[in-house]
Amino acid sequence: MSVKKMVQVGFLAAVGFLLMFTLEFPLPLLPPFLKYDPSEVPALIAAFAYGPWVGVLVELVKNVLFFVSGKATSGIIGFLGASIAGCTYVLVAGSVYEHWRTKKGAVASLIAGALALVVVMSLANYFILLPLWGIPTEQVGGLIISAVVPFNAAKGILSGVISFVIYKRVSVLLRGTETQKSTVKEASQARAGK
Amino acid sequence: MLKDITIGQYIPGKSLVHILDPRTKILSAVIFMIALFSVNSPLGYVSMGIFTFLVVWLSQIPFHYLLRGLKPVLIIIVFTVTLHLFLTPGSEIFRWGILKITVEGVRQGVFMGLRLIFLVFITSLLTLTTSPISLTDGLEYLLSPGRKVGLPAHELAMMMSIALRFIPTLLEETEKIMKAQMARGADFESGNLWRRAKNMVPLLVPLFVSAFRRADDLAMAMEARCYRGGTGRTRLKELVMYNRDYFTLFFMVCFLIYAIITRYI
Repeated sequence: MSVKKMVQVGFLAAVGFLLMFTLEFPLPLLPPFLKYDPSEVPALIAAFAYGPWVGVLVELVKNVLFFVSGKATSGIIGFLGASIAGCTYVLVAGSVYEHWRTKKGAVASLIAGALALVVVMSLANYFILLPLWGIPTEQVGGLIISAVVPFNAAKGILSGVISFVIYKRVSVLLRGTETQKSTVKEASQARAGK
Repeated sequence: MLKDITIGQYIPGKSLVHILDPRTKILSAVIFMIALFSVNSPLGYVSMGIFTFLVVWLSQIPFHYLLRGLKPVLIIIVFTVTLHLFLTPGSEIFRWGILKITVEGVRQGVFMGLRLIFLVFITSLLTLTTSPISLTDGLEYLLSPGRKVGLPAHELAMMMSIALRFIPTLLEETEKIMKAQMARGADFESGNLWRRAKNMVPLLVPLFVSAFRRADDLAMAMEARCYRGGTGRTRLKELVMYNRDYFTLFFMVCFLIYAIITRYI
């Protein structure tokens, strides 16, 4: 991984970390501790620009930051939940877009990502997260249908729409200088060839 | 609105818990969590409680800091305890309409509540006694065996450090952009779902642009100083494991074995 990409991942993770607090708001009809924040947007942008695994890296760095900053008071459970959710979304959306780089592909990738998010989070909550929180097993199913599914669907759609709107405007800068560099290299090679 | 964001809640100190190596602390916290999730008896929970309060006392962290960490998860704790209290089948001790409290419900409710409270206390204690930077260093060491299977341990730690360094800068930037856009009539705090999501765009685009500019400058500065990754790099602060660290880890392993035994007696 080039130094530049590494630095950019660090910065995107920092932006994601900030977005967790500055722009969060509760969703209507859902319990108040499930708040929406657009912190997946930087990871999605990294996944679109550099491939799914770079997006996953942004997501992981952001969540570890959240943990070491002492904000994640729920400790390992909150960290686990956020990581599973973020990585699934970014990985699926990034993989689809990697092979289908058009506007339609972007929409399809975000829909696929949101669907994967809902399915994986339902399963993760059923088998791992809600039992860890100590919710009795008989209540888990109901909670998943009434809270987990609508929350993750809303989160996936909102983050997807925001990323779709801003990706083209900011990706120019993210990859911009790199393409400039390569054109300079090509030009100098062409000159040397003459 | 943005003032209450501080990275890390580290409180400097010289207590035994403070001076332990970050690696020891991270591993001990992990072992404690495994132990906490494996106990299932009154004796087990009492032991966990004694251990938690002993560590809190040793760390000399004022207790209200730990209570503050409990605030955000209070709703979940109350929710979990209530569910257990009213919905566990068993011998009834109290009934009011359709709601009934059972002996088993009280037992499960108290256990689950205590489990979450101890979990929050120990996690908060880890971040209260260790600065984010030394936690990052500790994580880099602990992850470095993963390099053989392709885990970029050094790069991850470097990204973490870069992010930690630039969070305050970017926060200031965010505040500036928010104010600038609000002066132009932007509204970040009301409206329905779509409005709120749409209103984020005029904040996010300049924020990303600013972040990428700074990233470009930093990358260039690092390359100009011949940064070439982790191999052969020396450090200003080497992490050293002392006897107290080995003793703590040994104690934690014994504690875990004890916790597992309490399940069966």
